Amino acid sequence: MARPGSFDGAVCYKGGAPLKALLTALAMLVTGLLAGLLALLLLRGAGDLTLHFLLGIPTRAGREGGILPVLAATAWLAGGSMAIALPLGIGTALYLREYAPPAHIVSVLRALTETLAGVPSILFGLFGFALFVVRLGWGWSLLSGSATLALMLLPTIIRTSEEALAAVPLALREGAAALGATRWQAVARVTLRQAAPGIMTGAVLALGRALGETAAVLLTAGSDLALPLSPFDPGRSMAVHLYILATEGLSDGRAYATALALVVAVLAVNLSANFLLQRGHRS
Amino acid sequence: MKMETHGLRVWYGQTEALHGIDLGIPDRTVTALIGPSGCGKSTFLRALNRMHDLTPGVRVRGRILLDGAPIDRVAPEELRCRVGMLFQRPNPFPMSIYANIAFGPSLFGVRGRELDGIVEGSLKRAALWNEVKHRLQSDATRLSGGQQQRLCLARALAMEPELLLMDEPCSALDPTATEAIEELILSLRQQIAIVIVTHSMGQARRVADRIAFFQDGCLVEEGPATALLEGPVQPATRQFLSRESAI
Repeated sequence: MARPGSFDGAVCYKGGAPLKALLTALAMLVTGLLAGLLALLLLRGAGDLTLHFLLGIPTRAGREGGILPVLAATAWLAGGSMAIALPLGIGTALYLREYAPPAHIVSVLRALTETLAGVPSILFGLFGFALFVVRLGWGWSLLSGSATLALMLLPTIIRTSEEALAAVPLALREGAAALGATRWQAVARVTLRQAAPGIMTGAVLALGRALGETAAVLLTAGSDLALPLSPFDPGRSMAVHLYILATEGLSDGRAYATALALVVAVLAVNLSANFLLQRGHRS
Repeated sequence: MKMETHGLRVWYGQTEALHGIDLGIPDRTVTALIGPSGCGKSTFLRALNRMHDLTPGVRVRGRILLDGAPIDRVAPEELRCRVGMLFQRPNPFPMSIYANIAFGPSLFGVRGRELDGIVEGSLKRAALWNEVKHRLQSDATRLSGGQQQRLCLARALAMEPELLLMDEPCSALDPTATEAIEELILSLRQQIAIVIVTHSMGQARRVADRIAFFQDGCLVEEGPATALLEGPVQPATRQFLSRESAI
């Protein structure tokens, strides 16, 4: 937002021309890479990406037919991981922000979440395999996969929710308290409502990551190509399908078509996050 | 007295901000708290509805009585239903005009027709009804600053408070909106007790029945508005008033 007296736009100074040229070149390089990636996917995948492909049952291990079971498994995993991670993540953020626990608990929790955010997904896969698949006996299933993904997404959701809660003005909390609201009533009716767009944005970004995750899902949900009918069935996500098609040389065209469908899904999720954020800023 | 404080002291951490305030607030009058910035008048005001409870590290000592009963004997939520507050900056909730006014009563289970009636009545008391009656469901945060402050006043009145605390309620408003709020204060004076913190001597003169002058965390002098403004007893009050009128 431009305030009176602040510079509205780039700061200019003498001798900036070469730097500007360099930065422009870098920006164009990045844009070009992304455009090239999309162009490659479109070029190789668009031909195979038909309605028949999206809604068909795969045959000959995915060389022919469609990806309906893969789409279904991906939807199960995305929905399941969100259903687990959102309440846990938002709850943790509320605890950290609103209930001002003792400082040492906060610092331990924060250090843990930061560390979890940096752990490679394959480690989450191994942990999920050991805990959900083996120990709890859920087997290779969409439930195990969802639980594992949820653990992986928790740090993102906790951090974005915390930031959204922190941005709620004190004046609103005080306003609610001054009307006789208890702490919980103020949180539930005012603070969460004000923070909702920010929390939603974090959730949608996490959802994008869940859609694209491969290693953790392969280890916990398996790679079965049958149409999953319950969370206890195994399933193959889009990313895992792409990985298998590509690494086993089954079908290049199908692999690219799957990749294209995946990118479109992730893009749609991220764009809706932007939309939500802008709507939140406006109100 | 509607409310009284006896030896009220407040600390922020190790810093003592109020050094033992004894003040009575009569019913159906407007009491204005004046004094230089940082003199403790807002701190005093926020003690009266226990807003300090929300801030860690703030300690309040002394006795505060509402209708003769100590306010720390009841839950703070219950106290705040009887003692409403209007803040320095309008703070509408991010919801509709209707939902803002209904917020307080709906916490206590008021629904349907009864709630509609409270919303309409409160908006009328705050002289906002005619401006918003056709758009009760629109976003309250899109109202102008002056309308927002009247909305917040209506929201406080919806709880039928016996006492209303106002913390420089016009400091973020233009002269027209300020005038509207002052008129409302004068019309409410017949019904409830009002305590208003103000930095404007003009405002104190226009709305106050009684004035209390604070300085450095102490209550220097208090009394009927005209008497205090025309003939202050304490040298500190005289000095402050002459400095203010020079501006």
